[in-house]
Amino acid sequence: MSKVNHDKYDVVILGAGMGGLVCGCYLAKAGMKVLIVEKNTRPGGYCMSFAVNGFYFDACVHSLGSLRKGGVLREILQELNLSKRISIKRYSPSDTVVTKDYKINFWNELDKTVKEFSRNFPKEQENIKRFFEYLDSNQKNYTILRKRTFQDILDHYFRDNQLKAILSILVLVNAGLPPSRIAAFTAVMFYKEFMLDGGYYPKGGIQALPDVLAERFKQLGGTLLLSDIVEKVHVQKGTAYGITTKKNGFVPCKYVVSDIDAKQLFLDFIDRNEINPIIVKRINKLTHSNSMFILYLGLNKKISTVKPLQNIWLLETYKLDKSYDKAMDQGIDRFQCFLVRVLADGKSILAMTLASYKTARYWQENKTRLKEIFIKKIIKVIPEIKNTIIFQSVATPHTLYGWTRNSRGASYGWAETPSQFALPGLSQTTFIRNLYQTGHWASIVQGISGVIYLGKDTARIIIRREKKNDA
Amino acid sequence: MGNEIDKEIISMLSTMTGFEPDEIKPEMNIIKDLGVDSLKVIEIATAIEQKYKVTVKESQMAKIRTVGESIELVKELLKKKQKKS
Repeated sequence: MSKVNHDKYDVVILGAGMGGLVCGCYLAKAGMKVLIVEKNTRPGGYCMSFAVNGFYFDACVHSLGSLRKGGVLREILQELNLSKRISIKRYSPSDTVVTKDYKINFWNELDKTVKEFSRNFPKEQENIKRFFEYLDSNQKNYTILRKRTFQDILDHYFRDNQLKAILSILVLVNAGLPPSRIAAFTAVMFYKEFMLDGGYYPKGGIQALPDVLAERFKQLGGTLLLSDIVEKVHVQKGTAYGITTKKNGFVPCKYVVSDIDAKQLFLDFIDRNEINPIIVKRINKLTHSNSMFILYLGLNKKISTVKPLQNIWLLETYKLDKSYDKAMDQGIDRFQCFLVRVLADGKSILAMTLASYKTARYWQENKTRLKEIFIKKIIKVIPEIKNTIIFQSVATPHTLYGWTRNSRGASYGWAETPSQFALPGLSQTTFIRNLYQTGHWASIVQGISGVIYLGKDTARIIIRREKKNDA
Repeated sequence: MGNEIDKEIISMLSTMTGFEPDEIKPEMNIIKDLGVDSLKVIEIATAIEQKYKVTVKESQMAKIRTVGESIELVKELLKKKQKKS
C-alpha cells in the first residue's frame, strides 16, 4: 500500500539531501504537512555511508563544520532538539597539507595553526596573521567579494606562491575549482566554516546525521518516501501545484521545494511552455561544478602511522591551475592534488580527487588503470598500507550521477565562479510561483554547512508566505 | 516610469523574502526588517544589473540598505544610462 496521501500535502520536497531534510524538518515543525520524495533507499544525498565486506565508508561527504557557538549546524541541531541524539566529536589536527617541502597542520586552535604557518613561512608571518584574522572576524558584509576570485584574496595577502598553493588545495578539492576560478566568497566561507571551525565527525559515521534528521522529520509528522523518483513538476500559468512520481502518480501540493539538480528541474520536469525561452537559454549557459573520482580501500590491519579521521591533502605541485587544466583535459592521472582520510575503524580509507564527467566508456576502459595509479600515490604517503589492501572499489563521476542524478555527476551544484555567484530567479526563490529551491543548486554556498543553512532559510521564506495566506 | 520601478523592486523583494508587496515599505531595512542575508543582498545587486542592464559598482552596494534607497539607486543608474545613450 502506498503511504502517500494524495490530497494532504502543503509542501512536497524533491530529494532527501541535507538541504531537503533540514527544510522538511522546519516546515513540519511549523505545522505544515510535508512529503519528501527520495530516489535512493536512504536519505542523505552525498552525505551517506555504506558498509561492505566488514569495512565502513563515508561515500563522499566525510567531515563537518560549523559547530561553534552560533555555528549553523549547532543551531539547527539545537532547534530541532537533536543535540543529544547525535554525538559529534572534534579531531585535531583536522587537516594536514603535505607537499615535498612542507607538512602543515590545521589545528582546532587557530593560534596554533597561525604559528605553524608562520614557522614554515617566516617572511609571510604578518600576512598570515592578517589573513586568518580576516577569516575569523565577525564581519558579514561580503559585497566586496562579489566579483573576486580566491586568487585575488591570496594575492592581496601573500607573495609566496607555495603558501598560496597550500592554502588553495583545500578549496580546490572541497569546492571544485582552482584559485583563479573559484569565487572568493566560496573560499572564504569554506575557511570560516570548515577550517576555522572544522574537523567534526559524528559517532557511527556521516550517515548518522541524515538519519537523525529523517527520524525527526517523521516524528514531526512528515512523510519520507524512499525509492521513488519524481518525473514531473506541474506548473500552470507560472504557478507550481503538484508533482508526479514514478510509483505514486500525481501528488498535488501548495508548494514544491527542489533539492535536486536545477537543470533537470527546470528543463526536464516542467512543461517547456511554462518557461520563458530567455530563461532556458540562461540555464543552458550555466556551468556545472566538477565531479569526483573516489577510491575506497579496505586493509587487513589497522594503520598505525596515521591517525583516523584526519584529512591529509597531498599536493604534488604548486601550480594548481595548470595541474587542474591538465587533469580535466587529459585525465585524472595527471592530477597532483588529492585527499586521503583514514576512517574511524583505522582500516577503511577514503581518497578523492576532482574529475570531469567524460563518457561511460572512458571510465570502463580507464577505471582500473586510474585506480592503480591512485593507490600507488597513496602508498607513497602511507607506506605501511602496501600489501595490506584486501578491498578496493571506486566511484567515478558516472557513479555520482547514479547516486544523485546531478547532471554530469556534479559535486557542488553549479560551478562556484564569480559569474555564477547570484542567479536571480534560479535561486531559493524561482521565476515560478510556489516553486522553491534549497541545497547546493540554490546558491553558491559551501558544503554541508551551506546547504543546511539554505534548508532552514528556504523553510523560513515559505512559512512566512504561508502565514500571510492564512491571515 | 518611476512608479513602475518601485513596483518592480518591491515585487522582486517580495518574491525573495516571502513578504507581501503591500507589507514592504520604503523605509524598511532590507537585512533587519526583511530578513535578507548578506548573500541575497548580492543577489539583489545582480538582479538589478540583469534586469536594467546597468552595473552596480562596489561603492554603490552600500546603497542597497533600505527598500527606498535601493529603488533610488536603480533610478539613478538608469538616469546615468539614459544620459550616456
